[in-house]
Amino acid sequence: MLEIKGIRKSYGKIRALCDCSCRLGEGVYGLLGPNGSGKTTFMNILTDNIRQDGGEILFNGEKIKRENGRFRARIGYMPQSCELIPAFSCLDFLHYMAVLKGIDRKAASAQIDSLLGRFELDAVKNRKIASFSGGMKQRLMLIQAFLGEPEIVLLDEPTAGLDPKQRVLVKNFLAEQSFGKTILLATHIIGDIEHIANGVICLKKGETIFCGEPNALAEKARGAVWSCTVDGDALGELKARFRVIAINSEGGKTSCRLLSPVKPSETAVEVQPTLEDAYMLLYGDEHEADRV
Amino acid sequence: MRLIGFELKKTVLGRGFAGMFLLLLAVSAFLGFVFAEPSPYDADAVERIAEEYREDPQAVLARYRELQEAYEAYADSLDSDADGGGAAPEWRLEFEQYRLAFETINRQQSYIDKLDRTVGELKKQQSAGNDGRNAVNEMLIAVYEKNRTLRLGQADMRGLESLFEVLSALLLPLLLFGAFLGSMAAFGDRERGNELLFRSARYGRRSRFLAKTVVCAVCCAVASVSSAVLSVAVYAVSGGFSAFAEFLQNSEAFYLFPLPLTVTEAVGILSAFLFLACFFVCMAACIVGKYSGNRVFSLVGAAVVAAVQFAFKSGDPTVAGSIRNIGSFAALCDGNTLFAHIYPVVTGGTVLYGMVVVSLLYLLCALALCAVFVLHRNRPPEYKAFRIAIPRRTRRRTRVRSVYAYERKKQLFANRILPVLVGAILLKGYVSAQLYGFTPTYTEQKYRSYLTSVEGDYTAEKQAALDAELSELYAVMGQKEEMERKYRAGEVTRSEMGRYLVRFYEAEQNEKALVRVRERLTYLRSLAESGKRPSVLYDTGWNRLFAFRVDVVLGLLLVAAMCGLYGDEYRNRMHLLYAVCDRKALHKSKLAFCIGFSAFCAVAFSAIDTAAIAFYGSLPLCTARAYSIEGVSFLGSLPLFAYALLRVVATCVSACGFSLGVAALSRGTKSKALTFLLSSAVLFAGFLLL
Repeated sequence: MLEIKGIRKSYGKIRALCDCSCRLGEGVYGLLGPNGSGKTTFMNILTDNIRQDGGEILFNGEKIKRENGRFRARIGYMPQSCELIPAFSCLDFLHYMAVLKGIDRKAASAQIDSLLGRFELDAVKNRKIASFSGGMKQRLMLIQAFLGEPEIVLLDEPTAGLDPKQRVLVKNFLAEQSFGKTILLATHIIGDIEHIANGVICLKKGETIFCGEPNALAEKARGAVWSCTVDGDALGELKARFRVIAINSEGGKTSCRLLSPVKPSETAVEVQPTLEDAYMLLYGDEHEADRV
Repeated sequence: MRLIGFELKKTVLGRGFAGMFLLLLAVSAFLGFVFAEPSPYDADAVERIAEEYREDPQAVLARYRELQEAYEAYADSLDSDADGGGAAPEWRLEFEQYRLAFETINRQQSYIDKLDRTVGELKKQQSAGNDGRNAVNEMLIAVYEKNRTLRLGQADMRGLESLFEVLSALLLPLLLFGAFLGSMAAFGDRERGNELLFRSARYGRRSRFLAKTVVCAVCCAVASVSSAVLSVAVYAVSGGFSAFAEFLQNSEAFYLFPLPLTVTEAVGILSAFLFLACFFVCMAACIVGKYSGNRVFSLVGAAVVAAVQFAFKSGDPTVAGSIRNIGSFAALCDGNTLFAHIYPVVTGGTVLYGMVVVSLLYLLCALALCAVFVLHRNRPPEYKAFRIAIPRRTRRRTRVRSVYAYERKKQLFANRILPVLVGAILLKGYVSAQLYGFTPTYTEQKYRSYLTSVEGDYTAEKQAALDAELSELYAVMGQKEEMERKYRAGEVTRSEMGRYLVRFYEAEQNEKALVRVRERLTYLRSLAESGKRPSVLYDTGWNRLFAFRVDVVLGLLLVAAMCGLYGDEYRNRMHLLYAVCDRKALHKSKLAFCIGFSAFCAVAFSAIDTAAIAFYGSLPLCTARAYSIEGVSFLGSLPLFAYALLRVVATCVSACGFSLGVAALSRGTKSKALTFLLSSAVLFAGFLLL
């Protein structure tokens, strides 16, 4: 059980995190928020790369102190972007990470072989990283995060740059690995955590605005999500008055999904809210410029 | 151990390491080649002459005078004979061997005199009641006297001295290598964005930094040993050992401490010394980088540390001079003095080996820096601990600049050429001060004095006055044989002979200067006879200013600045964006930057050279016609200051040409590293050839 209590962090006048609290048990947790909401800062505090200004972190009831190598031994971390070591081969890099994590050589070899096969990188394990595509580097980063069977895995945008097939692969893998582990997944792609997350934490401008189950988050949008079919002229008017989430054109007619506290038109029908709807409801004001 | 292996692999395969290492080896080989002075003459023959001189100096001197007279007559015949005098006579080889032998004897004598002076000073310091100091002094005296005995039995030491000069000259390239290695160790992971990832691992902090430190030490050791071995090997192949081949088999070539050392052991000790200096600078680069968070500061900091080691150089045997010698690796590593005249360091009345003291200092300082690097402040935010927050005004409007202005900003600030420029200018200032600030020889001082006394327009009267003075000197010098005869016959006393010899030697020195002045005036007379108006002035400074030279510092600066002009854009993949932009405007802006920057650097470097020469008072009469300086024929009717400006323009043009070549290479190769290596190779090749 990982407990985060009242974490605060500021960079000069910029408040990156403000009284951030949550509890993470076994399973997959999504850390949602737009760019600049504090997700990466949160991750860096958990990995002891940044010192928080206030608050504390407890793991299994024990307070985590600074420069705690034993705590870091329980963490697997995948940062948002990394050039890796271009001159190393895939295998070299994973063995290097295994050495940094203090994993026994035999155990590391076995785990590496298994994970490489799982992520379809075994055919290129002896190729230099410099020749890897973006998706291959991303998968390599993911593999190193799971080396050593860490109890806590922190993944920052793990599916960025992956094609749909690979994203499904990653999602299934995370779902399998969640037993006995705490996996925290920072993302702003709802699909990454849909159906696999046990909990969701929403950050907005450094503050925790939601912490709970995905269903509970979706329920926040209950009564606010509508679907209606309109013609071309009316669509423009709808877009001006409401937050349109999705538009679908078929057979000369246009149907759209939108957010509104009241029924937007006569033909509108209330629909079952999804996580994405709830996300748009919570963060929609930050995306006003991107209104469809 | 595995972590050290991985860090070593990361370093060796890292960006630029292979290039820097190869450059170091190339410079080492170059130094070995340049310093090799193969003697075409038989070393045994030279040694035999030296031994004969010790037994019967008069006979050897007599034979030498015969050969000298024959040589002078031969030289005169060469001057008068239109065909060049035919083949060199056979006795010429013997004459050169005698000349070499006397040169060797004189040099040997001066070293033995130095040894004797040092032993004398040490004996004076022996005092009652200080057993510890006396014991150390006794040991030093024993070593000096053993070396003295060895030196007396040795003939030609030039080859050995040149070898140690090679090894001493390796110091600067090794220090630069150390600085580069240190900055790579401190920044390689940060630059790639891997730092957060590695730090999050259990052994990703102190253990990783410790592994980096070990790798730095290993790389410095390999670099020191391989560069020393390579330079010695090239030196040997180039014939540098021909002058002292016997020393390779000599088991007692030197004495350092009361123990004999062979040449190989001496080379080993010097290599170890070089390693310590290299490692120390490497760790300095690591520490500066760690606390500044800036790779350029890391390199500049290490360069300052390295420069300080050259700042103090003194042969002053007093206490103050000895303390200065502590900081002077260059003095201690001077091949001519390291083993022949070991610098004693007098501290608190106790004499210690300077080399031992400095070695220990290097080792302790390097270990202290290692400890700080590994243990202290291993979190990323602490990198910015020493940064000063400068409050900035928020601009209300964004200023739109021209493409050229953006290109200039990109190159100078984003690509960090500006700090490199500042560093290069400081280095150039130091080099110029060293080059032009040395104390002139007595002959040069007299030369200057004579010319200054007749400064101004050339006239026949000035010529006549100097000719008269020269005649007076010849008159004094011509009395030597007569005086010697009188002295042997007892017709003059010892003191009278001594006074005459003082006048004779003074006249001999002044004669050399006046002969040069006469040659100058002969040249000016020929100009005056052709209707021109030359001026008599002290020309050494102007000759230095107008001399053609390949400015290696300027060349390297331009290479460093231009090699990334296109290469950086391929490295950070901006070329993909530029493909859909106005490429013509982009190329024009790069061309403008290339020309502007090169011209600025050429003007700055020329100004530094001029300032250094002028500071030491060597640029008189700047309004005189340029043809007054021998060798100036093109546009010689311009005043000297205008001619100097013309030279600056020529320097700008050549600098711009060179930069454009480097830029073209950068565009063709699309690789910064490759462009840097190829351009540096061309630069050094030009330096060697010209």
